[in-house]
Amino acid sequence: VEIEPEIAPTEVDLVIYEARGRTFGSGASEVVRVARRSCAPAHVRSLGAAEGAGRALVVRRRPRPASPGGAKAPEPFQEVEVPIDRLIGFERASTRALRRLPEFALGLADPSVVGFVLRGTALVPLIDLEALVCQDEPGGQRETHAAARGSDAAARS
Amino acid sequence: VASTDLEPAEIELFRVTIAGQAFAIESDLVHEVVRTPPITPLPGAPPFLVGVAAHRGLVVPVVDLARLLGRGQTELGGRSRMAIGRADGMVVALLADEVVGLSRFPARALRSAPLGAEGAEFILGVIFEGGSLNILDLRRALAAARERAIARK
Repeated sequence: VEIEPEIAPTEVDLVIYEARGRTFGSGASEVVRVARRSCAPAHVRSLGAAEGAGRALVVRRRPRPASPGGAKAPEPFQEVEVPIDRLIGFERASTRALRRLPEFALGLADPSVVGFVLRGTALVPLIDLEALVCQDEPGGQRETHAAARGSDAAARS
Repeated sequence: VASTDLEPAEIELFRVTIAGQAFAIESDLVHEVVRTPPITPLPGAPPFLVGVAAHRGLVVPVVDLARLLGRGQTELGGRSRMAIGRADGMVVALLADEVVGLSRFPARALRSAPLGAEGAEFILGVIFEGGSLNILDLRRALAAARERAIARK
């Protein structure tokens, strides 16, 4: 039996959108749907979409793991809205157009910024929507970072 | 043969103007000067990191030297230039009011930074020749600003 070598993807599907006059991109597979924004207040820190933002990217928030004792079952997926000003569209981009966050900016930019896609000569920040929506929940990315810093400090002492 | 550990007769510095004041950077830290391309702001970044720009196919962080030194902010115009530098192995684009260029000075004109002067911790020395020219400790200023910003997160 011949095993086919694993082939790295050469293209990625992105959703491109605008929030407060700035263009952002995210992996299309992260978005469950694009919907009219509901009246309910957004549960996530937005990317700066205006108050009157009419649309939202609906994203699934990963369930929290079951409690260590195993008594409590993991929570089901929760759908969360990320308000945006305007959907530009879905695009397929070559992986050659993707860029990493420069080393100097690591730890300085919002942790949801994972890199960039070059659209012509413009750099469009790529946002990890799951990381974005996890930031505000208890035990989310920010708290996890703070906890990690605390445990590092404890390990050094 | 006696050791020939001689001081150089001249030092080469890269001159910029920050908030109306003359500063210089060690010339070996600056690689080139380019017209300022469109800058993409970075969500969550501290004020001194004004964004990123595409340069020769790479993404370079753009640092405003005025904000880095707490001296207001650089106003960008159509003729603005930025210097592409490298500090501690990291490529950084530097924004200033004016990018003057390279100049040579006699080494004897170099004096140590006055103690207690504002921002003296980031000044390597001062050249007195037709006015004072502060030599910026770019590596230290960038590292300190970065550490402070990360600690605040």
